[in-house]
Amino acid sequence: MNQVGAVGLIAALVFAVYGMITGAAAGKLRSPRMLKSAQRAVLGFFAMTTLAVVSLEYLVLTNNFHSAYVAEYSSRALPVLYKIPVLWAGQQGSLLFWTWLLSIYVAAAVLLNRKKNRQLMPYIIAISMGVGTFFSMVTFSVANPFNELNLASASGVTPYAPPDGNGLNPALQFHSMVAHPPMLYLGYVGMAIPFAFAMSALMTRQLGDNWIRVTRRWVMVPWMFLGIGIVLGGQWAYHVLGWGGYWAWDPVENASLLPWLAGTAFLHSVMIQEKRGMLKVWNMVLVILTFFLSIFGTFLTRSGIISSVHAFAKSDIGPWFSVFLAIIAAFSLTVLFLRLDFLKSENRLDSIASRESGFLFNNWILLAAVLAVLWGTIFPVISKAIENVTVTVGPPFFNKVMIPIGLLLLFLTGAGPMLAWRKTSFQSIKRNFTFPLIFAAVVGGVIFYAGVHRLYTWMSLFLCAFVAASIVAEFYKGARTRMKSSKENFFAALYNLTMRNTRRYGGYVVHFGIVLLFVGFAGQAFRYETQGLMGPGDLLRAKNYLFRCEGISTGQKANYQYETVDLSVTKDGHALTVMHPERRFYMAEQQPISHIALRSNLAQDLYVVTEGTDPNSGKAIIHVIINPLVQWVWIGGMVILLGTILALIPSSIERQMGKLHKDQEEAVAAHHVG
Amino acid sequence: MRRTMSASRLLKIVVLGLALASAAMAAQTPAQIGKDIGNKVICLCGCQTSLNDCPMPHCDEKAAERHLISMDLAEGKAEPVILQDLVNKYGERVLAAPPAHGFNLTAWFLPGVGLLIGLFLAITIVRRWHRPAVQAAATPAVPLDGNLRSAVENEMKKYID
Amino acid sequence: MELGIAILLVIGLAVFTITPLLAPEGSAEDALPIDVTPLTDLKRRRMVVYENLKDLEFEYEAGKVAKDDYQSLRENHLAEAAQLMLASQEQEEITENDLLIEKQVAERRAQRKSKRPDPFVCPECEFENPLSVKYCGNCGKELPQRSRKK
Repeated sequence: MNQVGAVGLIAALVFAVYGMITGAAAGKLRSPRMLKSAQRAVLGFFAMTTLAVVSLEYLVLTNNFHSAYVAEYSSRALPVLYKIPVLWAGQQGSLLFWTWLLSIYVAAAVLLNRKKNRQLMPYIIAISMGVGTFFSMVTFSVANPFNELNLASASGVTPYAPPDGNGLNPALQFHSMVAHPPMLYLGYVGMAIPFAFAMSALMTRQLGDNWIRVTRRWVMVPWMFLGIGIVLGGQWAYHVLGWGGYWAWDPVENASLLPWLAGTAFLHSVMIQEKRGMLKVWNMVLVILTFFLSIFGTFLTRSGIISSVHAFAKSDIGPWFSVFLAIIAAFSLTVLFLRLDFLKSENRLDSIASRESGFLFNNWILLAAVLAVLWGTIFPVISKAIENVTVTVGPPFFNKVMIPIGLLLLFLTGAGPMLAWRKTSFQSIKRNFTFPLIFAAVVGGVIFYAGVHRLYTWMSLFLCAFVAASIVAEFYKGARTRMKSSKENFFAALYNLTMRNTRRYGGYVVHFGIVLLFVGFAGQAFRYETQGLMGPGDLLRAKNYLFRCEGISTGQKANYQYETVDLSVTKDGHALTVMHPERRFYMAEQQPISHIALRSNLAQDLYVVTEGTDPNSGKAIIHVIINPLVQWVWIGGMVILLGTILALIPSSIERQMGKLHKDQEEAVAAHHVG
Repeated sequence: MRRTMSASRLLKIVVLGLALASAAMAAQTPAQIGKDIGNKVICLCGCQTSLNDCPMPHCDEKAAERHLISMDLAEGKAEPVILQDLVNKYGERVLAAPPAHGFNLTAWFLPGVGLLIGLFLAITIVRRWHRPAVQAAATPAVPLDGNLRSAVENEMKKYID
Repeated sequence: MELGIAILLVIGLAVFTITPLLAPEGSAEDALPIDVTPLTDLKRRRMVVYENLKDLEFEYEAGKVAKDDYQSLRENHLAEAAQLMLASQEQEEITENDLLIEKQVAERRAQRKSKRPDPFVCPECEFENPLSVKYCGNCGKELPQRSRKK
């Protein structure tokens, strides 16, 4: 199967190169035959990467340790569920996985546009296959997952298969870790498609509103996956790393946040172009930036240029990626520059108090956030290069810089939608801000009275109340207006309102999810921690909770040894629950890991970790964290996902335009017949 | 009227909050200082997390750093002195964020500078867009006679439900 | 064994990919169809204006826009739509004129052709194709095989 995988890899590379060249030629010559051939090359590329992925999974599932990759990242005792993620556990496999996901996206783009966007398709194929060429080339030449283990001796080279593999990093043997990397990668990879659309629109000079409407969806889908990936990553960190947090401003976490922020900026400013024909150059820049940051994120994750818990890989793919990033930047900016004349704004701004300028400021803040995160992430490298001093840029830096930016953004989340397109009267600003401000002031007063005295925390919750109230007001006012004009009852009006303009109201739902996220973030200020050594019968108090150690048991499972501490918990003197934090030692991997015990409700999480036994006393080191409001982070993530799905349902104008396209097709067909 | 009330109230709350926050900062026990320091330095075992958050059990690096901090605390040293001791022993990389002097200042200033440049750009763009708009909005390019108006309105009814 | 199947699969896909290029010249349409015709583009842009107008009305009713602004913006939008509609009509006239001229040219040619039959003329719309083609360049009808071969 190693050879089969290698054949798939080589063939994928050939199909990618062929697709790139034929696609470009089809675009240049406007040849339908060549386009057809290029489209088939895309399907061939997909089939071949699939073949490579299937062969690698087959090798993993059959415990074929003759394969170097399988021996490195898998083991016999690994449960089947965790054998699937072996595919992306290592450098070579994850690059193959990246290539495969790209082939899925491009094949989907080709199949969905069989009859549409014929002029754009050739260059879309050329660009995305160009990206495919790069990734299959890297996979094939420097990070080939199909290398075999051989023993070199005096008598020559003999094949070698170790009896068992090294096994999967136990930190990765966790359920949300099965889904986290694929989601993140789906996010990174997917940004190649909007980039291809943008470049193709520029190259063919088809810069009307067609490409941007199509592209918006192709941004939203990967943006959604990226968001899911980020939240799952936070969940993984929270459950597995054992320090009771979900975000540490780790370089790799930052790398996933960067394209998400840039994509968010695009999803907002794209509305100005669709509705008003403005900001055309800027939107191009954002599409390019989002894709660039996606590749940059992959590069950071995979090159190990910045040390991080995630950067398992330290290898020689760095130069490849640097060159590729330079090519992307040079190519896209050149094409953009050559077409600047075609990107003139169609309209002017009527008033500074308008939705348009609201979006502009939203973009300003989001881009400032991108800059701050990017700068903090790469600063250690810069400092090393210029000053030759190794510095660390960690959470204190990012918290200081990003919290004000985040709060400003939160404010705009509430204030922006209250502005009307083109021109908002001062009267209406006053009227629309009154209710949310009063509500926020009341909430602010209550929480201050309840003991929230830290400025940032208080402001965060104050703004959360403000934004939530403004969203509720938007829905309420919208429904009331619709009730008056179409005589529907409140709920019917609410439903129809939302379905007529899914983008706006889906967007509001996403905003509400952001509010919940910030509620969860604010909770971190009230985190309580305590630690103690516990043997059977020992007690540990954490606020109004009392832990009693009932015993420590040890044992062995298929691939790990464990040591479980049984703790009975009482709250205010009433028996509450029994918790079992566990310490595991994975044998194949020779690594220890904590398995936390968690009891959560909407108000707070009771988070208990054992760090193993203290060698002197033989007692367990127990760490208790009371983590308020953490659940709201996960709930917020879910709400954002639901809002995004809602916004993906076609709005009435999109349905109308779809109809228009069908009419055009029929007219063309009729013209041909008659 | 109501608006001004809520605004002044907000101001009061903010001022009060600031005062209380700074008051809370002033008095600290050695344990709290130790914890603060634990957030400001990283564990050098390679985990790249802060000293307080290092997930490794029996981590030698963590133990060594903790030992230094507790020795200093026992001597009654203040937080900046202890941090300096740590830097002297391990180098600047032990700090979780670069200290704000020398070249490291750029780390702190660049995001702010970027924010200001962005604000300047945004305002410039808004103003440039805004100026010629006055005449454009004032004179519709096409005189809207009755026929055309009804044609447009009919078509609108057809498309927009 | 598996390797053999894999290689066969590769060859099959390669053939599948190359075949469109080997199809005889001119067997498909000779250019990629336009994504959005000028007329459709004008219609789309009108729909955006209507959508904006609808939003404006909605925002006015929800109390976000002052009455004066609402009225002037509304007129502004309507004028924009009217302008697009006029452009649309012009475009249609151009197309119609083109068709008319084409028809006249075709008639004149037909008169000529009645004396000297041309192998490139489409029997359907009587368009004179510049080359020997399988499908008419004007209406897309398939041309009779024998007239093409001559």
